[in-house]
Amino acid sequence: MDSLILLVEDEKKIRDMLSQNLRQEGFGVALAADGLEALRVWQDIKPDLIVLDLMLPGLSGWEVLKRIRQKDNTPIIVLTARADEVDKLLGLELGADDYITKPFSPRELALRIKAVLRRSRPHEQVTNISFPNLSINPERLEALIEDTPLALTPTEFKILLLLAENPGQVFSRLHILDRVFGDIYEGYERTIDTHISNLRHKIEATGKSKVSIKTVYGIGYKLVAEE
Amino acid sequence: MAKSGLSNKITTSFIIVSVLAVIATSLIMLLMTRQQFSTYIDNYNQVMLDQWAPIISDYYSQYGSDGLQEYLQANTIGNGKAMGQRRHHGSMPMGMGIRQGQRLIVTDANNMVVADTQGLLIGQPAKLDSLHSSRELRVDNQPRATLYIISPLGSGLSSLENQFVARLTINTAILAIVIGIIALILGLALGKRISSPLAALSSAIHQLANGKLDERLSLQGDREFMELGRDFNLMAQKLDDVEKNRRRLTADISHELRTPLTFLRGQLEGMQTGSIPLDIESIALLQDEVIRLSHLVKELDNLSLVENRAVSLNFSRFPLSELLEHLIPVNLAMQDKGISYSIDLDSTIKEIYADHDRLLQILLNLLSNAMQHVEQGGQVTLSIQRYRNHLQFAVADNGPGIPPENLPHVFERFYRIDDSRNRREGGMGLGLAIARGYVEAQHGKIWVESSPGCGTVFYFTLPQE
Repeated sequence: MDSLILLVEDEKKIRDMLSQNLRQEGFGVALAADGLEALRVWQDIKPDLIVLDLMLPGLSGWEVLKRIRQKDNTPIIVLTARADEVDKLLGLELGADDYITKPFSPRELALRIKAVLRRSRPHEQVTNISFPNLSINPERLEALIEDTPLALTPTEFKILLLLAENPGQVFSRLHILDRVFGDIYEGYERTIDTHISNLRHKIEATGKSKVSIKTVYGIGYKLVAEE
Repeated sequence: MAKSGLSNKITTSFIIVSVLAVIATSLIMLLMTRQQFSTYIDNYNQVMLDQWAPIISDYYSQYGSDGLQEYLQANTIGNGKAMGQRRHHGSMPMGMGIRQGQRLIVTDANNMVVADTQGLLIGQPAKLDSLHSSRELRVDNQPRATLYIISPLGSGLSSLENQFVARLTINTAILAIVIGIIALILGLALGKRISSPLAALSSAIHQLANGKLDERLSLQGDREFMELGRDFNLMAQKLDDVEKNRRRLTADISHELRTPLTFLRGQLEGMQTGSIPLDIESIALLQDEVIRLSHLVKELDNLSLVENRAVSLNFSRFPLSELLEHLIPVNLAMQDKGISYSIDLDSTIKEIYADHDRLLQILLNLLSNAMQHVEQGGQVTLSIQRYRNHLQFAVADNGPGIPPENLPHVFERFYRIDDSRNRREGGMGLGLAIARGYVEAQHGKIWVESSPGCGTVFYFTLPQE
């Protein structure tokens, strides 16, 4: 995909961590540590998307957002540490394309970036996820085994998408809950088992699946290709 | 103090007002006295004129002005002594005469004096002003002469009057001083009465500002000060509560953070030294702990929004079925724990007007709370009833119930009835506090009823348009 991302974040630790993660996800990454630098770099390199921390020394993220928006529509994802900033963002409609509150998972940020880029390039081919013969279209909420569509509930679809995006990685139940529901935590881990068991039935019912969801004892689940 | 105090102002006002009052009273008395005196003199002279005017007119009509002087003198110098000295028509009525020092003057039409009982002004033009009592004498309807009467009473009385006025002035001055002193004393007393509670209030406020939040005023004095004192104490109490709350919150948060951080640190150190294998399982454990921590931070954020009354609500009308769909994970979790869970709905409810996500969060928090407090085989019921202008939600369980002494605290953050319950089982103790905040932000009420041994019901209402 090779999109160029401008990452504006004053905390070096976070900046390094995120840039490493984003490069691994296949993005080109430019860095800025404060508002003025961000504006300068933005004008030099014209990135495809800006990841902007709101709390910056000197020129604040708000100001950077405003100045960039006066000039053009470069997609911007805002990083914020405070819940009240989210309200302000939503209330002012300053033109951020998405926001993500700290603490967040770098992988989630990468997914949001992809989603925003997809939206900003409507004609581009939507990246489908395919893992042996399972293919998922995240836009159309469609999952197919070969050509057979799976009739999934929204929750099941989200779980399958999460596992398929990171095949082979083990996800704990809490992790799955966190990513799928965003809000339900303690006491609900076992509900994931029910969803997984339904998912398995639906996948197996097609009779031609080359993927399966494996239980990793004591931890959680992962999606693997069948031998 | 640069500005004069309240006490001084009160005293000064007191003195000014009372002295002014004394002076005003004296002035009025003076004026009235003067008027009384002049009226008295005037009346007296009028009586005299009434007596003399017919006699002199009479004389005039018969003899003209000739001999009037002798006639008057004869009649005024001692009664009867001059009687018969001169024949004339009729005689002076008995008992007539003028008093010692009294003087009658008659002028003719040309204002020349024709008679004067003291005989001094005869033949001269009269320079008598109209202030003296006088009467025009008419003969055959023609003004022929004017009779003046000059009464010694006038000057006598006026000196009396002057004496009286002088005495009055002195008395007024003395009175003003005495009243002024009384006013000073009263003013100082009243000023002290007003300023001493104010001074107490001021020092209490200083104490409060310096962080002595247990400072309270003792209630005494006048009604206004009692009220002021009560309000101050109320404010101090609230400040105290807020401060205690803040301290407890900080302590609670650091306590909540300590456990997961200890765990993370221990795990990571174990991995470094090799005592804990660096495998997927231990990494997943670490990640779960981090997810919990993130969740705690998110909940604290929500709580701080709720406590600052800064929740921004997003009201909409949505079908009840949509809400229930989002509660499906609850069904699964209850099944998994072997709890029988039922939903009891008022069949007339089709739509709900509320902040969807917040309502969902309230219900999840209450249901999770119920789920944590019933044993396997227990029962949890969610019911929704329609009332005239609100919906009432109830989450009932048949768990062990809440002891009455704990009931008032269940909505407090980080409050756990059973301290020995650990974080995993008991939740973080934020759910109910957040639920209450969300209900109140939507102008609903939330309360709990419980009987130990029989179970607990959490109720909340949401007003509907």
